[in-house]
Amino acid sequence: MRRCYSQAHPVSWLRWLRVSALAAICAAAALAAIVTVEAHAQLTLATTRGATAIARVSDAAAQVAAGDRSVRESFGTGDVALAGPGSGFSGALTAASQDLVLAAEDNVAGQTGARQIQFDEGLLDTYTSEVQQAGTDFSAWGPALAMARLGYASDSAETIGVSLDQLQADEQQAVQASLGSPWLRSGGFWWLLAAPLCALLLVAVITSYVLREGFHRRLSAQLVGAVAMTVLALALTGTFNAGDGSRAAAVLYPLLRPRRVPVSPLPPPSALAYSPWMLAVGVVLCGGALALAFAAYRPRLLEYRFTQ
Amino acid sequence: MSRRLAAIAAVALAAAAACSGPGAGARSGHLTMLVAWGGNQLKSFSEAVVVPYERRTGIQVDLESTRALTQEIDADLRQSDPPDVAALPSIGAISQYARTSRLYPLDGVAGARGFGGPWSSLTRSAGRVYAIPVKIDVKSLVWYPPAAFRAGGHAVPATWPQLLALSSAMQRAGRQPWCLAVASGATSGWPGADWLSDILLSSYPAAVYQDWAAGKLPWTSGPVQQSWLAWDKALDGGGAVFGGHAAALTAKVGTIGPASSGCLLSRGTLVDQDFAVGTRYGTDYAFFPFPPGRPGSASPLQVGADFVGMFRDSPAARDFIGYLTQPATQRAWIDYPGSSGFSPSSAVPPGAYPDPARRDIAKLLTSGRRLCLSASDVMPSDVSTALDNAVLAYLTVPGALTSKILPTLATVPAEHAPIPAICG
Repeated sequence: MRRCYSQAHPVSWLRWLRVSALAAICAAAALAAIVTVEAHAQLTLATTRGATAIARVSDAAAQVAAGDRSVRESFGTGDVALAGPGSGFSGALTAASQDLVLAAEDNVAGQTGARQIQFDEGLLDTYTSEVQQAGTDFSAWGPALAMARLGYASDSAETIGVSLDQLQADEQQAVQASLGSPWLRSGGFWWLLAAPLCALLLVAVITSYVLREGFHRRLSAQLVGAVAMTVLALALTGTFNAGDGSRAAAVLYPLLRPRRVPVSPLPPPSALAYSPWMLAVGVVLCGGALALAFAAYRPRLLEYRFTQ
Repeated sequence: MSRRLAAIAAVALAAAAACSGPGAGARSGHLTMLVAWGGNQLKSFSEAVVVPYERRTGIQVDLESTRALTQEIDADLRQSDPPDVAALPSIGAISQYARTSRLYPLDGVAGARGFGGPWSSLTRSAGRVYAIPVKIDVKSLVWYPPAAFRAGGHAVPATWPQLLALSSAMQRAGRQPWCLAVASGATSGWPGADWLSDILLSSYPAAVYQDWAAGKLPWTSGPVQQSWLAWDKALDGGGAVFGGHAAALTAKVGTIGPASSGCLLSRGTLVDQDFAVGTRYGTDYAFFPFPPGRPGSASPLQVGADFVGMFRDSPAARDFIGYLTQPATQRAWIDYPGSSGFSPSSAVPPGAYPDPARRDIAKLLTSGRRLCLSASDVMPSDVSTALDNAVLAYLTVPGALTSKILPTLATVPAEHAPIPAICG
């Protein structure tokens, strides 16, 4: 180290170290921002779009089952002769269709999910046609054929239910993948945040050596403060992002279990890492760290300028 | 310099391959296949055919099974993400996809032109091969319990009149002889349509059957009406149907059979019969071919088939389809326990089938009798749906056959696009 140190003037060393310290702090701030933005994107995907898609698909399955029950009652009482399949059936099927349209808008399962939604829309059309045909048969051929036809339609309704279960599973898998994203897992992003911190610590160690050898001084309190503020900014970023991920997973847990009862869209959990006050804290900490780091080298560099 | 150019060319090629659009790009190492099979059919195909192929080539084949096959394909096509290959049972659907350039021609695929019988004309469009048969089923079979036949003093009928006489005799003995189940989701009624096909084939020349399938024969024409009336006679207006017409309407295809349900006669494929566990072919159940109208003649056999078509052109897809046509693959498939279909390849002899029932059916299949595809498989979907609905209406109100059902069916436009020869 001594041989390396002797190849340049101590002041040149200090200038390089100041630039390195400032760069390390800037890199730490940038990485903290990237981690926060990416984590927030994953959280939005999971808690807003994914949760909505799951809820819509779940509701669509419930509506199809309700529609099938309703039309069976309508046929059983003979109301179908005058009223057709009934408003209960029509309303349920319309709602199911709308649910699928909304699920398509918030689909997080990619091409697989989009394809499955289109397929389910086709099945809904087929099922509706079958029920309408049963209504026609009721008038044309009597209740025996109509009820048999309704039985065939119920098989289709069951097929739709199975298919919607698969779609729900696809959406749940995509949400789980988002929640398990490296941007939300401590193990996934800590090393990323630790990299500029290690660089900053290395700069601090070298600075301490240069100050001792070239100026018979100790490491300045300002540089220690800059390191501490950077550590705090990164620790808050990491902790809050990991916390946001855990909270979202806890909130979304009811939506991620395989079930055939309808679930409602949930209010998204608060994202602390992405909040305005956390943004302000981050700006203050990183800005403060930059100012302190700049100030830490200033006395020795000024001292050199005056001795010249 | 040349090395740099080569590197640029390699990168450009890789980029071009990566950027090629859906439906045109090869996805080497991975294939998706859509099928309508379920249960043992799907399992046997997966275990006996797909898994060995994956082991041999390293290409992963994702099998997707759905009852609504064409709907799923249509949805996939709208997403520009069709399966690489699909097994389609309907020639009508294959023609439609070929006409709209959704299917890729298979001319260069090994084994694509190696099929005789009706298959060579059925799978072509504008002179090019668009689909290859991979599995067939014989529909013109009547299943019966030999022990009960012997006990009742019945003989296997050799002609259609003898079959009618047998049915009547069983009725007189207090039985409802015919097993009949027509519930099959959105396509309910198709077993009745197959009944009519068999009657037409047994009583009229194949050319008449071809004309009927092609929409050139009106529903009110003599052969079609007479076939309906013959079916009505066989079922005795519902009196000869096990459980009555209402039971046939609600019974699901494949849930009844002569050795398990109490009925004595069942027309249809082997896979559509429900034989109780422990029953044995030859003693508990057996079959005879659907009898011809006149003694001494052998009417054509009605067959159903599954054809493989390619929706994404890639070397892997071509290789896989070529693999499916190989006799060794077909043998492995038919040999798998629980497998029920038959190979369309003449290179698979009847002796290759592991169980005696299928060996006997395969002998019939290769006996030189003409093979005719089910008419409803080549009719446009609107026409075949109308036919299925007419079957359901007949089973509900048998007495309305001539007064209401056939006149209503006659209003369905029968004329449609030309079809290839369906009898080979």
